[in-house]
Amino acid sequence: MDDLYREVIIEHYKNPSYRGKLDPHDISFADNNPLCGDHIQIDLRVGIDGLVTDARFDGHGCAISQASADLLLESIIGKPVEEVKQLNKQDLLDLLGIDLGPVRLKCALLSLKVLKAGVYGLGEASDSLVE
Amino acid sequence: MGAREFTEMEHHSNLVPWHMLQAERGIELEFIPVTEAGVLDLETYKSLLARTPKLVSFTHMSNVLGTINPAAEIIHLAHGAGAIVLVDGAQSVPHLKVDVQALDVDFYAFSAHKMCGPTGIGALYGKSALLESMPPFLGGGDMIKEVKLRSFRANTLPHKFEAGTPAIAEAVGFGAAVDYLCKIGMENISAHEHEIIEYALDCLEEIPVVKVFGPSADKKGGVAAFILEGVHPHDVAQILDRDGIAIRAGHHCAQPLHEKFGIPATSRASFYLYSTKDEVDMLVNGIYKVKEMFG
Repeated sequence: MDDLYREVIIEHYKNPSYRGKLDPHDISFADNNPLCGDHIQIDLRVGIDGLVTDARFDGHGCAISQASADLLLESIIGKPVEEVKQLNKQDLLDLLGIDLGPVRLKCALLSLKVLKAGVYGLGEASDSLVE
Repeated sequence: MGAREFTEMEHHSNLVPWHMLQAERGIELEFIPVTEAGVLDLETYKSLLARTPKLVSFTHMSNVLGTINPAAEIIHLAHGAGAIVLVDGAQSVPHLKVDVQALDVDFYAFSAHKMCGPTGIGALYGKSALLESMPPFLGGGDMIKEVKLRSFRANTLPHKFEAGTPAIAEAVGFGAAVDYLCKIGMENISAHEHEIIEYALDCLEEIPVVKVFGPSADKKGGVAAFILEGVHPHDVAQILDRDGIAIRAGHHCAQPLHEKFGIPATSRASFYLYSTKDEVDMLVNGIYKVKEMFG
């Protein structure tokens, strides 16, 4: 079976645990990948202790982009927002457990970009957030 | 400023320059709708012509749907309404025999890199009376007949529009590509592609979860844009790629067309003079493999 489409990726794509929206939420951010049209919105709830209490993503895109969003949110629930701010490209690739070429890397990193722009309270998600 | 008419199936390259001109000069843009079957709605076109557009411009062949538009009829109607016609032939010239004089088209543009030639060069055909009436758009080099300290005289056609040092290597490569295609014969290329696309559409339509966009094989060129239910086009392309099958996934620089069909992207298999039925079989087997992986 193809490495890029490990069962875990297909599983998270087909049956995501964190797909949806949160209303109310404390943080919400959305962005798309202009090259392929993948779109991701992430909503977060944050407790007074600064921990992420709940998270959801919504949007559409390839298996890599959607599975990476699901895996990413799974990994941050219960973590301090300050820690989420420090997540980088390698953290996400470790979650996915696959090697990606430059084009598909953008698919995988979209959710991290959206998440970081959200927690930093930025107006725009830039690629430098995930370098 | 008067309207200009286009179609909903244009490549971005025949939309964005007009958007820029709209911002600069306030020209109005109108669009001939694409039907569910993937062809132009000519009845609406006829009613749009009542607005006496200055220009009608359309793609001869859709790079997504493969639709070969009835160019002669569209041009004839446009001329009847007093419009000038510019045709985007980037997809048609590589695949069809095109006779610009028989079409009576005013301007016809195409690119070398779609017809086995180099990147960065193309050709614009224009009726000489129109080209004569137009000022040069770039200054320097070959476009000059004579220069005085405070004035210049423009060169004759086609030099008037070929400023600067030409793309010499590209032009030689372009010429070689044209010779190559002519030697094979454009009718032979069209006939071969027709055979392949007919076979490909038959095979693809047999796959229950595949939906192909565009008209039937008799109305289109050698391109099949499709979606596989439940799988994103990029995943389809990536998995096929690993088996040595190169297709394109995305909006193919025709975002408004995809929006019209309510989808963000399609997978697109393109066929040319070198494509074979065996390759179509590989594509079909590959799609079954993708389908299996995504259960």
